[in-house]
Amino acid sequence: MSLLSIRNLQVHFPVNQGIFSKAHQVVRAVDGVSLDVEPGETLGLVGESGCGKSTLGRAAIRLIAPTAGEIHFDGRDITRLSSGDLRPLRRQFQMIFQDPYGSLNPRMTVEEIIGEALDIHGLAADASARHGRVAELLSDVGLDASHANRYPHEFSGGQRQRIGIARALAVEPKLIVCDEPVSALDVSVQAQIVNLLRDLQDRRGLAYLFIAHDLAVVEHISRRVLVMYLGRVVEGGEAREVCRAPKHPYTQALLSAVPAVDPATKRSRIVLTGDVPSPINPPSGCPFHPRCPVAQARCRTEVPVNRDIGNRRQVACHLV
Amino acid sequence: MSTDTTPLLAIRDLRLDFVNGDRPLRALDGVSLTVHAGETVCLVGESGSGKSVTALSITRLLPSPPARVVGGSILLQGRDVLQMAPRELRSVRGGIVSYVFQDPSASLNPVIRIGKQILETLELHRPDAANDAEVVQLLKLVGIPAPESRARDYAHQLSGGMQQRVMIAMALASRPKLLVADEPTTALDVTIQAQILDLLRDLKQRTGMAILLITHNLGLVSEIADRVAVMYAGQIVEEAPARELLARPLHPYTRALMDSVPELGRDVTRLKAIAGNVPQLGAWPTGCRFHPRCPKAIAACAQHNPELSLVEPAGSSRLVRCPYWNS
Amino acid sequence: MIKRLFTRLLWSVTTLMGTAVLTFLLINVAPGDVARVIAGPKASPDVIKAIRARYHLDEPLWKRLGFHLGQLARGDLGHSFVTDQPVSEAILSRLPTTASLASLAVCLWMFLAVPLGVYTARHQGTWLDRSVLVAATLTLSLPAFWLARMLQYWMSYKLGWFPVAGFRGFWHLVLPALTIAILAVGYYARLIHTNMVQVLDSAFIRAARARGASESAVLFRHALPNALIPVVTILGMDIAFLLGGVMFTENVFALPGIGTLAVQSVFNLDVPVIMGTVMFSALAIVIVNLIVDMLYSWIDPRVRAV
Ligand SMILES: Nc1ncnc2c1ncn2[C@@H]1O[C@H](COP(=O)(O)OP(=O)(O)OP(=O)(O)O)[C@@H](O)[C@H]1O
Ligand SMILES: Nc1ncnc2c1ncn2[C@@H]1O[C@H](COP(=O)(O)OP(=O)(O)OP(=O)(O)O)[C@@H](O)[C@H]1O
Ligand code: SF4
Ligand SMILES: [Mg+2]
Ligand SMILES: [Mg+2]
Repeated sequence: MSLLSIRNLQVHFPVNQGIFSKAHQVVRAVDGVSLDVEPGETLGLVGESGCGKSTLGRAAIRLIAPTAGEIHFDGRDITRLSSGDLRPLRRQFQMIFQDPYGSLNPRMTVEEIIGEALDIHGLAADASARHGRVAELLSDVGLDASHANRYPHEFSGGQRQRIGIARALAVEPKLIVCDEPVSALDVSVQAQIVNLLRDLQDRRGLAYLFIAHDLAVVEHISRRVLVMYLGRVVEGGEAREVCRAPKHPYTQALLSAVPAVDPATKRSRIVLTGDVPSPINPPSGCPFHPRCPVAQARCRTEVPVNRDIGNRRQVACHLV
Repeated sequence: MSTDTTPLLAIRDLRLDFVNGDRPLRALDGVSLTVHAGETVCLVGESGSGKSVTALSITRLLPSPPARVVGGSILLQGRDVLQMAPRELRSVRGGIVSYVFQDPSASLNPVIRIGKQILETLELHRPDAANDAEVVQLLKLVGIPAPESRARDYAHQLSGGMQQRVMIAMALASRPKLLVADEPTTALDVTIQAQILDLLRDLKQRTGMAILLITHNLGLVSEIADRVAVMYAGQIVEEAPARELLARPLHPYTRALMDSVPELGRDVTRLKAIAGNVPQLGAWPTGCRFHPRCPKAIAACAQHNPELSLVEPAGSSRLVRCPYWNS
Repeated sequence: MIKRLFTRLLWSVTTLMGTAVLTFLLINVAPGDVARVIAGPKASPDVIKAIRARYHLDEPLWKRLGFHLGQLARGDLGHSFVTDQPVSEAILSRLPTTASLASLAVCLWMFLAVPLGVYTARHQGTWLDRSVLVAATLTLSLPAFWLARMLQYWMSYKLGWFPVAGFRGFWHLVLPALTIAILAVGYYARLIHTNMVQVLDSAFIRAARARGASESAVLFRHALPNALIPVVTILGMDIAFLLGGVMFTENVFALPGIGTLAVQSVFNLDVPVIMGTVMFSALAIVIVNLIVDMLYSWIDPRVRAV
């Protein structure tokens, strides 16, 4: 059974529009996404800026109310649970953010930051148990116990991200939604955090919903990936397979656009014309058709469904 | 004055401090960099290593104070930028050296139409061509659809990729000899980044200008660069033709960096991370700046900061700041 | 844009209505018999009765409010109890004085504040920068009445450079305008300074410098328009406030403006004039706000798009 199971999730945000325009406009940030995360696995989520990755990640753990669809966590329907009923469940799913600077209270010491998470869920019997647990967590994420009394600004970006991870780990969650956890880090530090996340997964059987726009990082850390475009999933499957033989024209273009360090692996470039359209008035038919190099007449009118093409692959394209 | 052998840009041993209160913080420590006419040079390095500071120094664009050049020289077509009078400096800025910056939405004036901003550059450097036709021509050159109407737009009406195209059009307006592009695609999506890269490559071919591309993405190097310089903590640690450097990085930092970045399709179970953190300004280690994180470091590395010196591995000649590159 | 204008107009009408109702209620529940005041202390009960009838003072409050609002809607502000002059006429006849005073004052202080703000932003930490900061703090706390008296005493009585009081031409306006300008210039210089410092630090300024733009082009073509955008709102409020009449300054220099009218009407308990001047202030604020709003979408293209 899946740990997290999402069916046909929609998250729409209202747009402030004139009193004269009758039609109520909405941003279709997430527009019918289904996904499953198995216990202990990593599901990668890639896509360009504004395609709805963060919104999906937040809605998955009910930090944003979904507009439609269903979310099951560990077999339980949490789509419409009240925040009171949700609170005891919250310790099972945590989130870490892109900006390690903004997500830590600058006026709290590391011990207070991590200890707060323990206190909320009553996980430390007394002060000394709490102190010991914090030290343990710090060493788990590769920091020194002596760091406990320092403030966030005394740490580098990578170290702050470690503190954020320790805070998420404190409540022993089953799932962590990682929203671009390495995007803001120095290149030479990214690998440390990626390795740390993998080690923790191996040791504790954690599941990750790993959001990133860097395809190489996602391919490296995930077993399966989903590619998003304008609020929809256009392709999904084993990470290695999707990256080796992408089926959807968008995935193909996206992969070919990633510059390779090794000159030997010259990829033939598919350069897309135009810009990512707005999710307020998404194009009719296939959302990708205005930029698609192989689009045909039916792409303009008919929305392609996300079909299973075997081998645990799914693609939403008329031509596949 | 400039002959064929005079490089377009020659930075020699540039040292630059930021004076904060009474304590000067060294930001560039002996940077040397040469760009020849028509060449594409990449300056690679992590956040805070001094790439932007180097780029802005070329035409003295850093505010002073706090910036203060404490040594070295910057020769542009043989003329010393550090000695130039303000008027001469202004004719160089945009005239010989043009810039494209990282954040295109912030780099365009929000209350002036983009056509007008391009026109302003033309008036400054090519007054005879300062007309609407030339503006449209430039917008067309960088691939903006419907340039006539787009010229009347304001920055916020364009997408990020289009804004960056406008910035490039503006940079090209004066027909510069050197285009300095400081992370021009970092704020953009991958598919848009590919468009901009193609555009730069194409423009370079058509105009023959030199490009100094600043990036932290080694992938871009293999896409576009003729030559690469790798920066770490205010110094160039390695410089080489792009192909050679990517095929055989010599400095331990370059090597570690290349190993630590995941590459598409490369099947590794575990990334080779570089231990420790990037040192902060004012907290650079003594000896070799990289020694606390270097897998090859020996006791001597903590004592002496090695020079950037010419080494000769297998028939080529390369510049490396590490005496133990071969061990 | 149309929607914006529409909501703004709606808001304006509501504000004016609110002001009308509020002033009416405030004045009519205040103690004191208005009829007796109008008639004077020696009037006979008959006269008072007649006055009551004439001004509908016998009617119930809500009826009078309705009558009052109806009159307002027709642009009729009633007649002065004291002079029997139509209130709108009294205000309009004094508007040119107040308006010229206000414009001169605004021109004076902006003429000084813009260069000061720009210069101090460009040369932070210099002695001029510091003195402007100190002066701004000082002038903000100066009492207007005192400043007006001091200027009048020194520049008119002692030095004789300006006429002492009254309004017979441009020169009579200079000292009152100077009073107002002195009170405002420091504040505006700092306001422009702060905005300029912020704008000068932005990426598009660096980009303009990198294209070889001259320092004056950078300051005045690229930075200043951006720095003035937030100033427009505050300037609009201040102009509206000035049009409502500068009570102390107009009084000290005996200028026949709306401020003097307002002060006189309060002394005389001339209810229609009091209400009239209040309504006029509200109207000025509403109209200037509308203008500022339009101006905004003209100077800031980002607003225009909304
Ligand atoms: N609270 C909100 N109100 C209105 N629109 C929103 C809100 N949050 C997000 N959006 C819009 O929804 C879309 C998806 O946003 P989201 O942040 O999920 O994208 P993303 O894929 O995470 O992008 P990025 O890579 O830039 O983080 C965007 O167009 C965004 O502007
Ligand atoms: N105006 C300034 N005043 C003080 N310090 C500065 C200033 N500009 C840059 N620095 C410092 O100089 C160092 C080098 O900065 P620089 O901007 O060149 O880095 P970079 O290599 O371009 O990094 P990034 O990839 O983040 O752009 C940094 O530590 C930065 O904080
Ligand atoms: S000098 Fe020493 S520390 Fe520096 S890079 Fe070479 S081996 Fe590493
Ligand atoms: Mg996001
Ligand atoms: Mg930089």
